Amino acid sequence: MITSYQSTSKWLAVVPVVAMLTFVVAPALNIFIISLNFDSFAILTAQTTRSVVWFTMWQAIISTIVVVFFAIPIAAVTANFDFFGRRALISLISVPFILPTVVVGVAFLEFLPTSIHQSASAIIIAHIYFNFGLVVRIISSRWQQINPDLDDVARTLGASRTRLFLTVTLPLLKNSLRSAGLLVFLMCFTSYGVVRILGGPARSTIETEIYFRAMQLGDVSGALILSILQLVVVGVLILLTTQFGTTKSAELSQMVFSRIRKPQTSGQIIFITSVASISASVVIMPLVSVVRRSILIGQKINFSIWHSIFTDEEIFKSLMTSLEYAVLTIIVSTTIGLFGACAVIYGSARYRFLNLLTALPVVVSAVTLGLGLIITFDVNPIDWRGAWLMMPIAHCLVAIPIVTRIISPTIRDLPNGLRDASQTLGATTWQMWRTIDLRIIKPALVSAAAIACAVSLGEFGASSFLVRRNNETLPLMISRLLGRPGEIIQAQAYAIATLLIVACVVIIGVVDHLGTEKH
Amino acid sequence: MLDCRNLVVTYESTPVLQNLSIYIDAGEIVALIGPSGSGKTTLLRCIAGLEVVDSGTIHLNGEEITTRSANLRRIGLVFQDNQLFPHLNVARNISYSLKIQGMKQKLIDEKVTEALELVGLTHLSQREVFKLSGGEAKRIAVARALVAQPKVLLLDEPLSGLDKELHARLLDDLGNLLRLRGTTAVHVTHDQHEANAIADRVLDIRNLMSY
Amino acid sequence: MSASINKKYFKNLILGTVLLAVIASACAKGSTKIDSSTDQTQASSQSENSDPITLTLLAYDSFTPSENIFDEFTLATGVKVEIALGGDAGELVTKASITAGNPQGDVLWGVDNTSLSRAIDAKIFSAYKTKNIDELDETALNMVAQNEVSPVDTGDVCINYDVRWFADRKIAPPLTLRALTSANYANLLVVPSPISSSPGLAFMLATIAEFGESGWSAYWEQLKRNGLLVVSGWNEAYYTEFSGSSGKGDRPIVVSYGSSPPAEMIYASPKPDTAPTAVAALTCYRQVEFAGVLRGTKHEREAQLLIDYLTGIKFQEDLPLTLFVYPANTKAKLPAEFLKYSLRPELPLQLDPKLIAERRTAWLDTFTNTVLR
Repeated sequence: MITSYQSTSKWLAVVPVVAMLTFVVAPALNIFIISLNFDSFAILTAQTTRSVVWFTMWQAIISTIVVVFFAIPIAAVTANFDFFGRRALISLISVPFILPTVVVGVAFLEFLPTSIHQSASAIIIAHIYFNFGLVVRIISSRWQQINPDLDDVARTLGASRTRLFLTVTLPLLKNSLRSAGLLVFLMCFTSYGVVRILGGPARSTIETEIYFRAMQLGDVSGALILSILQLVVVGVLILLTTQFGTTKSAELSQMVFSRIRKPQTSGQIIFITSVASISASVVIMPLVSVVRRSILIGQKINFSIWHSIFTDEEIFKSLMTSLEYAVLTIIVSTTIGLFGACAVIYGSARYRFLNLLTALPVVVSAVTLGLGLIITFDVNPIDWRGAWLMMPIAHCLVAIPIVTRIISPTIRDLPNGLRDASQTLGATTWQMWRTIDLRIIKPALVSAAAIACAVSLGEFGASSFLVRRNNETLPLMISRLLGRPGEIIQAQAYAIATLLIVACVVIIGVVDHLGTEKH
Repeated sequence: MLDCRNLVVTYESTPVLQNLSIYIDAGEIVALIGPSGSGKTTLLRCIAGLEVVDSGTIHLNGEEITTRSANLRRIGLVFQDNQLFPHLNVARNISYSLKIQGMKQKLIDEKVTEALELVGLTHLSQREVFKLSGGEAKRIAVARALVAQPKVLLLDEPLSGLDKELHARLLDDLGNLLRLRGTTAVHVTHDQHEANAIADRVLDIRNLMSY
Repeated sequence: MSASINKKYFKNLILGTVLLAVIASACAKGSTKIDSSTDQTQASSQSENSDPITLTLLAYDSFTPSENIFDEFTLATGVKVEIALGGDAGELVTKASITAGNPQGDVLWGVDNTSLSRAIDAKIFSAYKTKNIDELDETALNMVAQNEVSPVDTGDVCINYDVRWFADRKIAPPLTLRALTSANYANLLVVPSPISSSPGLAFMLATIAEFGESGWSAYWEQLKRNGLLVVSGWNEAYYTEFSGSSGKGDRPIVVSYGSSPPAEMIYASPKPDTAPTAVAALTCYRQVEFAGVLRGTKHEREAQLLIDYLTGIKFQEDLPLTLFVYPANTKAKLPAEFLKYSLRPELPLQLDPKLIAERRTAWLDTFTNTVLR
C-alpha cells in the first residue's frame, strides 16, 4: 500500500467498478437469468463436452510451451546483442499479436502443407504466430534488467554460456516466464478465430462450442453453461498464478541495463542471423500472402481493387467509423485501465479484486458478453442497442484487460522514494500524481493507448453480436466480404485487410519509437 | 606468470588501451592506480576474457590465452558491487564454481565451510544475499572468487564506497587472505593509500602504455 | 538540443490537432445517430408533414440488394428503410429469439427453412398475410400455414463440379449423390461442415432426404472412405479447395449453390465461352428464405407494407443478380444469365421444417461421430 495515496484508491476504483458492473457483470447475469435452464446442466457430462474441454486444455498447454520455447532464443538475441535492424525486428514480431485473426487466418492456410490443414498442429502453429511476439517482449525486457556483470561473474567462475543461461538467467526470468506463459495460455484457451479457421470442422474448443450451441443450434442455455465452465477454469487459473506471482521482485533492480553489445564470436553472429531471419520471415509470409491476394485476380496482377478502395464511399465510411471508435476506445479504456491499475497498487489488499474485475472481459466468453449486451440495453428509455455508442463500448471492454496489464507493472515498480522526495519539496497529492507517477509511467501509457487503438481497429468478437447499421468497422466488413462470392469482392476484402495490417505496423512502430525516445 | 604485451583496445575510434604491457609474478599483489577513464576496468576485463583485445597478446604461465573464452581461463574477478547471484543463497553462491568443476557435493560442502571460515562468516551459510550487510557481501564475493582457485584474482575497486572503519578492516583482512593463499592478484583502486597498503608493487596504468 | 524540442513540440501539436478533429467529427456523428435511432413516432399513419418513419430491416451479412432499391418504397409510402446487419442466418435467428417481443428491428429478412421451426417456436414474428400471396411459390407457402412469415426467395444447394477438369480427363462428372461414393470420384469432393455452414447443413439434409434416417450415416461413412474433405466454411470450400473457382484448389467437386455457375460467369473477367462450372441437378436441396414482421415492433403497419414490397415484383426481380437466389414471386422475370447458365431442378430434395427442428441436434451429433471423429 502506498501511503502517499492513502485515500485515493477509493475514488480511483469507482470508475472501473461501475464500468465493469454495468457493461460486463450486469449483462452476463442478465443473460444467465433469462436463458439459463437447469436441464441444460446435463451438457456438462456429455461425452462431447468432455472431449472438447480436454482438447481445449491440451492444445492451450502445448501451444504455450511451444510459444515460450520459440520465443526464448529470439529474446536472447534482442536482449543481448546489437545488430542492424534490431529495433525493427522487435517491432515486427509484435505485429501479429494485434492483428485480427480474420485478416490473417485464411492466408495462413497457404503456408501450411495440406496434410496438417485441419489439425491441432495447424492451430498450435497459428497460436505461435500470434503470440510469440508478446512473450519475446516480456522476456526480453525483463532480461535487460539483469545486470550484465552477473553474467560476467558467472563466466569468470567457469560457467560456459549455456550453463550461464541455465543457472543464472533462467532462474531470474522465472517470474516473467510465468506471467507471459499465463497470458499466452489464456489467449490460446479462449481463442476462437484460429480454431474455427484452421482447426477445421472436427476441432472444437469450449469457445467455438459455445458459439455453435448458441448460434447454430439455438441452445443458448447450453452455451451459457459451457461459458460458466470456461469462466471457472480461467478464473481459477488467474487467481492461482497471481497469488504466486507476488514473490519479491527485489531481486531485479528497476533499471534497464545496457546489455546490448555487438556480437563477438562468429558463432554468435550465425545465431543472431538465423534467429532474426527466421522470426522475421515467419511474421512476414502470411502478411505478404494477404497483400498478394488483394492484387491477384484470376491469376493476373490487377491494381483496380486498390483504386476502388480509396474511392469507394462505403469503405471510406467504414474506415472513418473504425478510426472514430479507435479514438474513443483509446481515451476511455486507457483512463479506466489507469484508474483500475492505480487503485489496486495504491490501495490495501482490499482492492485486489479489481485485478479480476478488469480481467473479466477476457474470462467471460464473447458470446455471453455479446448476447448479454443485446438483452440488457433494450429497455426504454435506454434502448441503446442500435445506438452508435454500443460498439465502442464493446471495444473498450475488450481493451481494458490488456491496458491494465501493461500499465500495472510500471506503477508497481516506481520507486516510492521519488514520491517521498516530491512531497518533501511541497507537492500536493494531485501535483505529485501528475508530475511523478504520470510522468514516469508515460511510456507505458502510450504503449497501452496504442495497443488499445490496435485492439479497437481489429475487434471482431463481442462487437459482431451487435446489430450494425451504418456503423460497420473494417474487420466486420472484411469478414462480411470474405463470405460473399466473387473474386473481386474477395480481393477487396484482402485489400482492406492490408490496410489494417499497415495500420497495425504503423501503430507498433509509433509505440516503439516513442518508447525508446523516452529513455 | 601473467604476461600482457602491447594490448590495444579501441572503442568507437577512441583508444582505451594503447600498447599496454604488464608483467605479474606468481604470488605478487599488484595495485593498479590511475584516474577514472584511464582504462583500468577495461584492462581487467581483457585479462579476464570478458572483452577481446584488438591486438596484443596475453600469456598465462607460458600459455597464450589471448582469445580463450572467459570461462576457461581460471581468472577470477571481484566487482565493485559484488554481483552476488540474487536467486542463490550464500552457500550456493560460493559453491557455484565448484559445481561447474564437477566436484562431489560432500567435498563442495567442505570447501564452502572452509571458505566461510576464512572470511569469518560461517553462520551466514544459508542466508539470502539481499539480507547481507555491505561488509558481509564483500567478503562473500571474495570468498566465492577464491574458492574457485583462480590462477589470478582481479579486483575492480573492491573497497570503494565503504565507511572508513569498515574500509580499513576489510583492507587488512583482504591483504591477509591473499597472502595466506599466495594468490596472484591485481587490485585496481583510485586510492593511493589503499594501493600502498595492500600491494607489493604499485603501478600507474598510464605508465604501462606507450603512445 | 533546441531542434529536438521544436520537433517534439510540433509532433505533439499535430497529434493533438488530429485527435481533436477526429473527436469532434465523432461527436457530431454520434449525436445525429443517437437521434435517429431513438426516433420514436407515435403516428401510425403518416402524412407528408409528420416526422418520417425509418424502418429497420434486419438481415444477414451477405444481404446486398441494389443500392437504391428501396427508393421506390419510400416514394410510395414516405417510409425510409435502413438495413441493419446481424451476422449469419443462424446468429440472426438466435439474436431475434432472445429479444423476442422487444426486437432490435422491425422486419427480419433471412430465416430459412432449416431454422424456420426454431424461429416460429420462439414467437419472433407477428403474422401477416401479404397482398402478394397469390403470386408466391406454392411449395414455399405450404411451409408457413399460418403466415408467420412470407417466402421471399428460393435457392438450391447442390453439388457443383469443375467442367474443364472432367473434360480434360475425359471422365463423366458425377450426377447423383450415390455416384459420389464411387471409386471414380475418390478424393475429389470437398464439403463444408453442416455444423458451421448453412449450405453444408443443407447438403447434409439432402442426404437425409435421399437416403432416409436409417441410411444416411452409412452413406457418409462411404463418402469418408472415399476421401471426402470436410472444411469449416463454404468460403473455404469454394474459394480455396475447389478447383473451378479463383482458389484453383485440388478438388473439382464441391457443395455450393445452384446459382454459383451463373455467378462464376458474371464475375469472371475475361468472360469465358462456356460456363466453367455446372450443377448436378439430382443432388439439389431446396432452400427457402423468409421475411417477417418482428413481434413488438412499433411500426407494425409500415412493416407490413415493407413485406408487401419485399415480395413485390420490383424487389423480387432485383434478387437474382444481387443475392444470387431465385425470386419467390413466380411472376418475377429472371435475367438472361440465369436462364442460360443455371439449372432449376424440378424435384429438389426437401425435408419438413418441423422434422428438422426436432431432429437437428441428433443428426448433427451423428454427423460428428460418423464423419468428424
